[in-house]
Amino acid sequence: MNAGKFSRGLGIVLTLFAAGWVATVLYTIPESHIPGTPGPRTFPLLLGTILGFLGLVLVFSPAKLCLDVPSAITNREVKVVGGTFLVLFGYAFLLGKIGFVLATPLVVILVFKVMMGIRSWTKTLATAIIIPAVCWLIFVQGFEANLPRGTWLNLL
Amino acid sequence: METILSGLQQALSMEALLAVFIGSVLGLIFGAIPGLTYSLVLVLLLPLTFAMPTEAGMGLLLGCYLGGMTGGSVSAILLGIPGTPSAAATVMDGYPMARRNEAGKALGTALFVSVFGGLFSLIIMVFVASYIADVALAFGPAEIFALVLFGLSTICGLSERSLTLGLVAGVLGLMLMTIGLDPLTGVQRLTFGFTDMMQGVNLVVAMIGLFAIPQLVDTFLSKDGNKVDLGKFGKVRCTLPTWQECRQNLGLVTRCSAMGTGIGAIPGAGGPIAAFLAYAHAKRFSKNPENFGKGEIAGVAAPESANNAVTGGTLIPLLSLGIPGDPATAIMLGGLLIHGLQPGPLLFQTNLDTVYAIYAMVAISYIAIFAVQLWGIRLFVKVLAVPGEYLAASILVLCAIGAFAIRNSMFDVYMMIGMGAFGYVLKRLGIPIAPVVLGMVLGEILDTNYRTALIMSNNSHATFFESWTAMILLGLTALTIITQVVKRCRNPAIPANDETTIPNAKNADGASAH
Repeated sequence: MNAGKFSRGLGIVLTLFAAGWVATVLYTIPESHIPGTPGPRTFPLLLGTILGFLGLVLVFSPAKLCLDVPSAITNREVKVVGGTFLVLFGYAFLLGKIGFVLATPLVVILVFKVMMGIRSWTKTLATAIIIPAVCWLIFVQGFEANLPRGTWLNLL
Repeated sequence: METILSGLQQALSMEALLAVFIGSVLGLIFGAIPGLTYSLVLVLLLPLTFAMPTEAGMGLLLGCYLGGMTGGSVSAILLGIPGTPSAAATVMDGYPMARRNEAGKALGTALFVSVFGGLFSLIIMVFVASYIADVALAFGPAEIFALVLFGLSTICGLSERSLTLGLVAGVLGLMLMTIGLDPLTGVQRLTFGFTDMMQGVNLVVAMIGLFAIPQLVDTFLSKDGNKVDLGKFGKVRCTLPTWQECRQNLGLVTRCSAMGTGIGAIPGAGGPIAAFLAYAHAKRFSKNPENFGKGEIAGVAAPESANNAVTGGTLIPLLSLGIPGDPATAIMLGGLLIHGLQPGPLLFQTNLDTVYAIYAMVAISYIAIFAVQLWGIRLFVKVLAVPGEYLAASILVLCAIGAFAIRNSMFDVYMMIGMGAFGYVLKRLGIPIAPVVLGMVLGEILDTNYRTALIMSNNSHATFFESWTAMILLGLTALTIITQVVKRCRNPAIPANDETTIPNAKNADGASAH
């Protein structure tokens, strides 16, 4: 893909997003209750319009905008990025269900074994115990902050 | 006098001293580790400051910021990879010095002038910040709107290669801040009926996602897990410059510090520009310009003094006007807001002791940085080689519990992940992240003051042109934007801050943070 095509593509996406934003603002946010003065919808509406304009700038003058065309997405990148967000969502889900104490070692093991390909089980298990322990010490003991508690299981 | 003593008392409390020390060490480490940045550690530390006393929380963040700026020179000198974009100019002479076995001297000089530059800018900040705050006290909504708009115009400077994409990023940041309850009328905006959304997108949650998650993905993507070969530098030691070397370079370092402070005070300009301008200045006025690039000590002293002087400069608009000039100061603004402190002219009226405490903590932080780097350099250098898997696992866990700790809400954890995905997409498309943060920080102030000004003037836009202050600020805004547009139109192939781009500079904070 060259810079022109990339710029046009990005411009179209941004313009469509801006149009959707403006429509949503008009549909969901009421006008000012004092006639003739700017209300809660003024600023979001203005921003949507500006974004739409910037999108059109990208569509119609692509050659001079000095855009770096992103490198092509590789299979490895798809796997790693997908894996990272799966781990993140999985961790968030587990934090809510089994709490910090149980979810964190599981996720650390997953990161070491699957994401980073670490072979040593000793290193993996030691880290899986040390990281939650240190976090617990700092957050709970040191700063009396709360850590996520599970709704299914809770060890805190 | 009582206020000064009260400020000093706050800064010298055991918690504050400990926090400043820990912050400085963490900043030094993260500033130096290739692939990681001090902005990242700042956002990860931010949730921790909730439970701390105000002065300790601020001390932790300040120490981290100042330590990070100084730490960047370590990997620049030893590995030829700048730890921060601000240290990119240091590579040019620092690395050749290290290659001819003068790493200790280069590190010692960089440390000495960094502390000099930082303390120099602190003195300027003490005199200038309160004066600016006094002037700003008389500002009404129209002037504040113009001031914030001027702050936003710095997006041009943060826009990396494309001004249009920088503006897109800034607008996206402003859009994010419109979600939630309208601050003036209480009307729900774009919440779609979700109760959790009524508080809007939390700034700290967003910053954790935007900065840390793309970094996490990068760590997973790097095949070698950020492995660093320290080679012969495992036993390096800092050698401070001799008295004669200090006398020889005093004039240069003072001029570069003044330059750094001035550039730092311009929102959006930042450390890389100051460092490269200082390097160019040192080379231009040197008796031996041909030695630059081959390991000239002035080539290390000039950029390091300038980039550290930027720290005091950036704190001037932050404290006196409430305008952060870069992502790091935006994160610190978040820290102040957490503790109920609104930076700006009123801070000097209502919390002057806190302002003095901040000044004192900057000085203490530089003392800590000097001591840690001078005596702990060997231990500190070993940390550079910490394997990526430990960093990745720690970042992941800290992101989740940091986001949770802000409001004890799992919704914030999911929001952080969402913002992380958004940040990764932006980064992948080449859209800078720093303007998004700036937009988020300044969005609400811009919105409320724009509308308040219009309501007070019966919807007359002439109100923005009725005072000289507003007109000057709007003029400066227009000038900033026009200058950047003209500069980029004349030579579209060269980005505005092209001098900050060097071949082996590491990823600039994912967002060209300074």
